[in-house]
Amino acid sequence: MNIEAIKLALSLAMTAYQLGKDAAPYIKLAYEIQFKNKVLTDAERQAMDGQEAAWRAEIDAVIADDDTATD
Amino acid sequence: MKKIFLIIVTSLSLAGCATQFGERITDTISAVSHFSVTQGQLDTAKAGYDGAVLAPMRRYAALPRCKTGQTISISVPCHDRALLKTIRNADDKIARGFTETQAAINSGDNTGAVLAYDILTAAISSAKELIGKTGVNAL
Repeated sequence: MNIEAIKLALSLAMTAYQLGKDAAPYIKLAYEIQFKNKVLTDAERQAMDGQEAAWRAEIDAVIADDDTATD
Repeated sequence: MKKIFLIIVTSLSLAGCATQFGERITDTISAVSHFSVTQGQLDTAKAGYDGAVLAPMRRYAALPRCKTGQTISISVPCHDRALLKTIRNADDKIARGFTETQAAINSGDNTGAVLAYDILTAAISSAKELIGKTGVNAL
């Protein structure tokens, strides 16, 4: 196995890990609300809104970069 | 006197439980019958959406941009700029849908909440299909 293949495998594993790390708390939260009768507080809702806004800002920055790219 | 006090406290607790239980049953029945949208339903939809669509979209955006003619694969993990924009546009509509549904729930507009929630859930289904197209979950 060459070094490039190892680098690629590591980068894919890292992407999968980060995706899981981002998504898991929300999936768990949805499960708890649905099946464990968890009731969100206003602070928890605001925290979710803040996280969503931050992620959307990151995505919008990438889209803005894509729009100016020539490749 | 102490016994009477205990009986009163127990009765009030039981009444409270019964009321809560009754309200929960009513909520569940109306939600199942789709006559109303509860705050819990909306919160579940939002948390589920964040985990199933928004988080993967963010990870997809973080991948390098695909060069012309490239598509995402295990050997070339990249994001398609047109697809990313399409998903983000869908996400924008969904974000507005969440806001509208929440506003209808807050104002007690049950008919408006059900209508907004129906549109919202349909839009979320479409967004999930778009996320499937990115292939980011298969990496």
